[in-house]
Amino acid sequence: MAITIKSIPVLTDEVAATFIAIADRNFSKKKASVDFSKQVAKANKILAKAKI
Amino acid sequence: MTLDDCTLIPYDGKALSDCDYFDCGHKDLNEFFAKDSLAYSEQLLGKTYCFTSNENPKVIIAAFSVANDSVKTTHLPQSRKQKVQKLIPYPKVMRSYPAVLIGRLGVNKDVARGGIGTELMDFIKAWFIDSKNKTGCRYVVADAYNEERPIKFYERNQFTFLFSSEEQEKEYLRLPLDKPLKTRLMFFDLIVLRT
Repeated sequence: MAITIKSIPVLTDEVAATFIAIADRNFSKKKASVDFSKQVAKANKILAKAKI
Repeated sequence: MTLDDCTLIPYDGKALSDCDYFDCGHKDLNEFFAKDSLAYSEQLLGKTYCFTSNENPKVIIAAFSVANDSVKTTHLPQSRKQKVQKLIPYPKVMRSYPAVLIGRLGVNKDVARGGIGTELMDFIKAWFIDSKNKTGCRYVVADAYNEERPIKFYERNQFTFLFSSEEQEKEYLRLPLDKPLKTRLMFFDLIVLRT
């Protein structure tokens, strides 16, 4: 059997505070910083011909 | 070879029987995709998908397992809590950030190192920020093998460690401190992507 896939544990204390700070910073930016429109268009093409 | 030359299909019993053996050049990853992924899907713990070559549909180019998960946080200092609650309209809900967990991801060893892994990662990110996505998803979290190549791969794709050290991760997961850590949790914040 392969190595078991981990679940994400509940973050507490400093780890939680650091994580929240990063989430907060990213959220509060006026607009998203990485243009991902090309990748989204490509993903839509892939999904259009996918057999899922 | 790019994902444009491939078709996305479920990696299920049919794919396993119809396709050639999927060799990622990594023993544990090969074992997961050959044996464990079906049980993982049957128990509804996650789903595995693969890209097959259009030229030869028997050849699996890449495969990945995804599962619903979340990043839950507790014990925020009061000042921080107030700031977060001001910024996020539904603070109670947003203390649990919805996430997709990439359990395993592998690329056929014959086409690896050609950029297809990054292409696959971009696809997964795009898939989960797509407006047709039925539920929200803030993070992509990966359970990456704690080995140089996969860690560098995720770092190249802008993932960062969820825990600052291996010791901290072991403590959180209640793993023996004297044993090596086999995988590391890494995350990517989808909110930085603009569509």
